[in-house]
Amino acid sequence: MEGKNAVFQKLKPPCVALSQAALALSGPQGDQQAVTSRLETLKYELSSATSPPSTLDPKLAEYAFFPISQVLKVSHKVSLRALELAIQCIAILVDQGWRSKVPAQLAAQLIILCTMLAEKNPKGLGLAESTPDLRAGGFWCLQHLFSVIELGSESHSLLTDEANIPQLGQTISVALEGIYDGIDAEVQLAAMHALEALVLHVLDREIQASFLPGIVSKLTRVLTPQTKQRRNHRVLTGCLGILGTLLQNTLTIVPSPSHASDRPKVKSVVDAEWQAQAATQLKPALTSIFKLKSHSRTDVQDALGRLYGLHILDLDILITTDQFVAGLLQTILFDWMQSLPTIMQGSDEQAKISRMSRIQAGYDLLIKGGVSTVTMDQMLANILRDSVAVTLTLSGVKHRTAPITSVVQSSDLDMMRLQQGSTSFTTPLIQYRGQADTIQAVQRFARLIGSSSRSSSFATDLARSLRQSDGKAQVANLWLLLTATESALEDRRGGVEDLLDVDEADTSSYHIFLEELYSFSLSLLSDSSDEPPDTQLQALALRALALRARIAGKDFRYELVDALYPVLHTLATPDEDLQQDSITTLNIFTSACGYKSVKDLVVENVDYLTNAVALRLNAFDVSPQAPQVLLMMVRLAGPSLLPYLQDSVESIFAALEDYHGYPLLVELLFKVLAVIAEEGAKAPQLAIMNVETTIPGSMFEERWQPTTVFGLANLLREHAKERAEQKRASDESPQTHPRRPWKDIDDIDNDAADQGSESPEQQMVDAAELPPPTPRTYNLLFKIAELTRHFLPSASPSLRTSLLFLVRTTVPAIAKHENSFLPLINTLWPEIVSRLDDAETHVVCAALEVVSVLCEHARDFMRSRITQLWPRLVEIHHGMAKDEGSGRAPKSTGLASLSLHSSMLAPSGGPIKGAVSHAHPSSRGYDDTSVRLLREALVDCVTSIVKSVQINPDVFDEAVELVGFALQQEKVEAVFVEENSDAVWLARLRHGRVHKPQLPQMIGKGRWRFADVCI
Amino acid sequence: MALQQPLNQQSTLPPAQPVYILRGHAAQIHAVHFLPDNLRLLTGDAEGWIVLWSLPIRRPLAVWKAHKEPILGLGSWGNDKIITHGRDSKLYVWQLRAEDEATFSTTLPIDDAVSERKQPWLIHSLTVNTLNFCSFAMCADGTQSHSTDILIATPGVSDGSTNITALPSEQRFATIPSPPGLKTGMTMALALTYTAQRSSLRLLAGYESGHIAVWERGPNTSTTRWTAIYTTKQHSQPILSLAPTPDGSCFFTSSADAIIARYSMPEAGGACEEKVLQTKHAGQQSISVRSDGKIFSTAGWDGRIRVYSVKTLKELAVLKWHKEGCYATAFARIHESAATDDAGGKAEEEGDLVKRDLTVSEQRVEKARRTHWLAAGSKDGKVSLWDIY
Repeated sequence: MEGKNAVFQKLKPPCVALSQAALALSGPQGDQQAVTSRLETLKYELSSATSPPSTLDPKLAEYAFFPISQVLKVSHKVSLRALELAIQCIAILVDQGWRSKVPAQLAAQLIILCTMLAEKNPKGLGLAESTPDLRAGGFWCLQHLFSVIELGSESHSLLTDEANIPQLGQTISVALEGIYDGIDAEVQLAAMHALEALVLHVLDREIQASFLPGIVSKLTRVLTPQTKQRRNHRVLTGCLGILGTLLQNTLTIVPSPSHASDRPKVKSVVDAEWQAQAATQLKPALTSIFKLKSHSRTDVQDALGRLYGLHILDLDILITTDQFVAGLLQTILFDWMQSLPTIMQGSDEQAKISRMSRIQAGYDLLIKGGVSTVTMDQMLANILRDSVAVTLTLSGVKHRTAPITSVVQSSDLDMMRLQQGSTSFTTPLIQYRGQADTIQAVQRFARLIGSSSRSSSFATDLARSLRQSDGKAQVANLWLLLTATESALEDRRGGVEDLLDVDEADTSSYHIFLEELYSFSLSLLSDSSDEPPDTQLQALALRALALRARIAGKDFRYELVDALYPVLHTLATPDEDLQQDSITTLNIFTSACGYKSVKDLVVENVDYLTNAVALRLNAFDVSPQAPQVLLMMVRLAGPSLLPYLQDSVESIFAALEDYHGYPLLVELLFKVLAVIAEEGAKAPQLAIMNVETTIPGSMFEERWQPTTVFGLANLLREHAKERAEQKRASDESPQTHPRRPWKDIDDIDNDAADQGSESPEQQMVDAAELPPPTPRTYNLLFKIAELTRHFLPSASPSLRTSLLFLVRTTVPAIAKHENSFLPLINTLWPEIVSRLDDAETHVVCAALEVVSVLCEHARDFMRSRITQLWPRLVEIHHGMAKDEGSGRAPKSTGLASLSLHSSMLAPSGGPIKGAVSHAHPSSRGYDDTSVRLLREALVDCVTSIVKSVQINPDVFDEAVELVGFALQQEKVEAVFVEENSDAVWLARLRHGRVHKPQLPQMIGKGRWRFADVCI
Repeated sequence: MALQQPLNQQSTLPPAQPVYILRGHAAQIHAVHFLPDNLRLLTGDAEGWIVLWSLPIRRPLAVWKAHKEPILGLGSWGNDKIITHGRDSKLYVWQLRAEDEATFSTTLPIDDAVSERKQPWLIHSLTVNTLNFCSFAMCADGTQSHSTDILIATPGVSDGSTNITALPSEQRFATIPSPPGLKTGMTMALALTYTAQRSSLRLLAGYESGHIAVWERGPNTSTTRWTAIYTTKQHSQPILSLAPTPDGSCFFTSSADAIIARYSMPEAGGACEEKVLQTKHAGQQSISVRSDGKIFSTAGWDGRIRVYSVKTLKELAVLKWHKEGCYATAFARIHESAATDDAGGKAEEEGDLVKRDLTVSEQRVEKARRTHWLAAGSKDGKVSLWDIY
């Protein structure tokens, strides 16, 4: 309040003085000069009162206005200078004093006054001619007045009341006049600002619409460049702004303006018809304004750009078929496009996107206007490509990290994943979070171009540079071409527009681009050069194949000969994203070609795949994909595929020989072989069903039977008889000559083999010529098994294991054809036996497993081999027991006593003496895994031997000891008991597992007790 | 297309790989033959099976057992007739129209070599001598203008003799004895061709002794006397194959030895220019000269296909894929339009007007038609397809 008071005290003297001077002037002794000078004083005081702001208030304004109004009453008597000062004072009062609280009536009067003062020839004031300063002052005052009027305020309602419209019209026309032919820039500028404020603050849409023609026509004249007069650039930019505001307000289609409901009586003049009419009328105006384009000042150009860009884009009604307007828009778009790469290199994501969407919107307008975009398309191709390439190289926060799965892991391609029916792709270009929006903006644009452009020059340009470009530019190229082609071929299909306006040439040219994309992608994906291809390119190539499949539909089956393998090949890469994309592509293939599932797709085209894989393997391609694809194919297609794999398997073996230095590859190759073997064994004719029935009964020689007492007696009798005869014979005749030639000791093995195989072979003489079941598959398995022998001495323990596993897998199937199987055993046996001496326990285990499987399938054919092998098995057991013994120095007493006990019971001189007890798994504190596995393998092997091969009772006894405590296992026990239950009982007894049988004995009268039996 | 680079750079190129392997025969391939439109390939094996393959999709279209014994030769006549020649002393002419293709079995012998299949319509059956392994030879009957008749040459019953039969009349056209004064042994390879000016019909015969003879049919058609105008012996082993160039200006022979010989076509009583190439690869057979007369190929017992220049006899390429011996090769016909195609890659861009109307499958067909195929059949029962030169 203090300040206000002080201001009042300061204002009071000049106000009083002015008031007196004005009053004096209405009398005869008026002094014009005094009025002028006092006004100057007042203006000075008012100006100084404006700082700090808000020291003036409406009350003070009212107080100060009084003397000024006195002056105005005698305006015809005061000097022009006084009027100028008066109007300046009012401007200050409005601006700083009343502000928005200017009384409505006063505002209306002031507008009338200021309008009058701003006129060139203010007749109302009786002046012949106004001065520039006076006019400028009037306009400034108007500007302040309009600026403080708030929408919805009393003043606003009053001013826009219908009755006041003529006055508004007058003001507008004065302002326009001021802008147009104001003598100096000051007036023009002031008038412009006044009009601007009027348009912005006072005029509503309806009024704007009604004054639009006049304003536009005048402003157009202002804005049309003339040689005789160069206007101030600020005037020009301001006018462009006004024009923009007006056009935007009136020509955009506003759903239902809220103020329309406030004045229900007035039907809006702005309707579609009006707008259309306005648009046609506006065209010539805009045309002439556009000449400003060549204005030297950039702010003018920018304003022009805003007018045509920012605003005009909303005015799609403007762009009908007028070529010139389209031309203007094109020019602006060109300018924007040219600056786009620079923006793209910056870091302002928002700027990038807004610029992109502006260009897109403008482009859309041109398309809708039916304008040819040939040159623009071409330019866009270059610019968008560069923009994408730049975006791709920008570093930032990783969007996601592609986990790299190891090669061997991914060889177990999860079939379940193939069952997921996903048929949509992600955008492969986005690696960083920051790129997403920009890339998506470009994508939208490219789709728009593809789906709506009538020319194909966008795609033509991209297609042309597709193969020439490299790096990220190539990625960008491929992506844009793919995006445009995709939308051209897919989005256009459904468009209603197209039904009416089918442009055959357009889409057909896109079919050519699709072809180009397709062949490019195929060659990219099939590239077997050492350099790993860009994963983004690969991902895009997969999308191109998928698009081609979608477009071609069932016809795509013809393409699978070329297109299927590359996808599976990519599926076998370690990159998880690519794997997912490959699966999606396969799903799309499946649905496009009309297969029921991906499995069907693979199975029905397995001939193509086999071919591709075989060619890759044959070319000694060391990449792991081909074997992995093979693996997957075999898994999916099953045994029916195997007849076609012969040369692939040969290639695998050739590769194994060449690439034994690549352990991962070799392992993978063997994995493939193992899967082939596994699947092959599943072939219906080879599947293990009734093993027994296939082995002729003649193979079983009569089993050993425990000797009965009667038999024993007979035996003894015969012995005695023989003895007697021998004695007699030796006395009488020399020894007979050997029935067969003596043989070298080395030949025993072969001989045994001969002997063993002789009998079945003779039995089979009739059947010998029978081919094996499913000869091709059988031969394949046979070959795999046979070839393992060359690799069994390999240096890699894991390879040795997998080879033995391979043999194990194939044996049951190969056993179906005895004439091939038995010689194979002969071939493989030495290698398998030598694996029992392997340094690696798990290799020994695997070898033992093979021995068991061979025994189970070849049965008594193995007898002589087992007899020879037996000591070795015992040795293994012994060695194992010894290891265990030395491994744990302090033996537990319980164990010691047990072993003592059992050694007492063990057959004398047995090599396994003392070790037997260790065979009980639970009898030790800890368990060495490898030893445990070895023991289990040994037990299984011995059990198989006992089960399948006829062995001597001595050997059986040893076998029982070898098996030891595993005898408690049900299946082991069953086998042993079946063979010789008595021996088993005896062994158990020795181990204290069963109580000694006790014979009842009589101890005293009528009482019995069991006797001690000494065994 | 890498193969189309200058030949002297060839050594630096990576080894050529086949485009495709047709798997399906369970026995060794004895004959391969492209049908004239290059869209079909006929293959015949040692068990008498015939497979008609579609080259665009590389799958069988028709499979049947044409003969009880090995196939010796295959041919085609017109658009829809297929000639098969088997060791069972039969030469059959089948009619297999494109519209009927869908009605045949496509189960390959490798999957089932037992079941009977539907056979195409048999329109001719000739009983011929097939004691040796000599395939028939054929050519259009040029004695009557504009005729679609053909002549078929097969070995006669007596050693070294040849019979020529006209089809469809099945009339004996000529009986040609063994060359007088030579001990030639059996006829091993035959070819029928016209001389460069198409003035006279020639029978080229290769014999067990390694001799070859050029027989000319006398100008007087009524007498139809054939005279051996030229005989020579370049090979120490029986002739295995014999092929003239399409224009009849020269011909080639191969044998069980390592020699490939080129002979210019002799005029009656005139000289013949001979050129011998010592290949050092014994056992090359099935010489096939490409339709443009620029290159020819041989199938080697060492499993390699070799491509030679007709003009220089230079070895241009060794195609290695089969691990077992090869017995048969054939070239697809070079279509004129395709020959100029590679030169103008840009011209294709403008020429897309033609292309744009093609559907996916039609494009494949077009591509298959233009490809410079070379097919090779091997003992392993597989047929390799190469895209070469």
